[in-house]
Amino acid sequence: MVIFDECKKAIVRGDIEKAEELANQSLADKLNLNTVVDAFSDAIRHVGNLFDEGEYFLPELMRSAEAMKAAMAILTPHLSSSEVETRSLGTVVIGTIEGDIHDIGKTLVAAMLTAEGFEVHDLGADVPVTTFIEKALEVNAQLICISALLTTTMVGQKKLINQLVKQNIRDRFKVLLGGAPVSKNWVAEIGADGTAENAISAVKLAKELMEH
Amino acid sequence: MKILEHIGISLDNQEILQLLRSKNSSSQKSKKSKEPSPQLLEDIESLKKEALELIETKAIYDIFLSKDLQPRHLFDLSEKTIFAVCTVSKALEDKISGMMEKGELAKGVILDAIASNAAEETASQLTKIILEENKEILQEKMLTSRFSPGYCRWLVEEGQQLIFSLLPVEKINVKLSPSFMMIPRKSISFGINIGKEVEEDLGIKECDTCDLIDCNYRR
Repeated sequence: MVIFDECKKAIVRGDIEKAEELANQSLADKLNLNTVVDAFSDAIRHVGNLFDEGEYFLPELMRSAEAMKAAMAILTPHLSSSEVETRSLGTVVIGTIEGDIHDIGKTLVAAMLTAEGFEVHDLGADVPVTTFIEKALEVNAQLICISALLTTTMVGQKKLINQLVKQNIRDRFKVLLGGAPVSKNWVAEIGADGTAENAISAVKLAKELMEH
Repeated sequence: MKILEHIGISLDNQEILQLLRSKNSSSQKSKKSKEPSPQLLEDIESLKKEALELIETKAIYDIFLSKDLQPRHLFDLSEKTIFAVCTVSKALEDKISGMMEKGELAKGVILDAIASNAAEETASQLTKIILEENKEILQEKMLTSRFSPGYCRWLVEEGQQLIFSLLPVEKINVKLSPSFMMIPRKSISFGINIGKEVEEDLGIKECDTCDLIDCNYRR
């Protein structure tokens, strides 16, 4: 149907108003909302690839994520709880570790995870280890994403892993690390589950981990 | 010790765009890397105007004898060392945070890239000013490039503690967090070594020409 193509175009163009208009039109026309959401989802994945390939700049990727969020805010209340559950790719708790106030990279990862269909609980920046764990247990998260932008704050990522082990709940969560100084060696050293260098890679990795 | 304000800077669209590209596309020099859209350029120009109204560049610097400075591997060939800190204002950071909190992610990331470029430009202009103001000291001497804590095998905590202990950085409203992060974040601290035998290539390098192959910041 033409409207599905228009949904895709709205996301690819990052046209927030059009995405909202099409979401409302889908409701008015009583379209199959799962098909509408699929169209939006296909488009946001395509945009992610365009960014990865250098076709899109970061603001264009973010504009698309904003359009996706706006459309989903209209559609989600009309999906049944079972549809929402089926569509959800998983529950994520994300934040920047205590002592670190860098927020933007983490916010972009949260935005892309949300756009792709994860339920995301963004704790913000300067978040204590205990808060990450308490929230992950409260919302029954599968993934904890923890960002640190300095070598001096990376140690907080290790503290989180150690605390999960100490509480005997390490196996309940996959832990993804983010931040400029984070390397694969660091991931292996502290026993985390992976790292990604940008929001698109983070989403791909999160999806892979949810499949295993 | 000298404090400088209103350091003139010009913002560079190419540098701002580079900060807004996927690192994958930059490193692979993707054939697909495209020119920015007119809309994106328009947004950058508009946000540059907003940024320039909020930017208040400030800097502090002084020159110290190098003989007692640690770690020795950085300073052993140096006779004197310039230490400096510069910043572009808290108001700009507050504006970026406000945009991100409101969900204006596209504008937020553009303004953040502009602020990063402004900080780098301030450091570059400050370096030129320092060198101009201290011509006599520099006569017949060699200089290193700028080097900052976290680079050149200089631990962030070690470097920041040294610079912040030597300079009264609170005079330009920059402070250090317990984790040695500068607040406002868009601030740069650095040193420049002066001497007849200093290594000119010490300092800021591109990753692909740096010998620290296991560096955490290598990309």
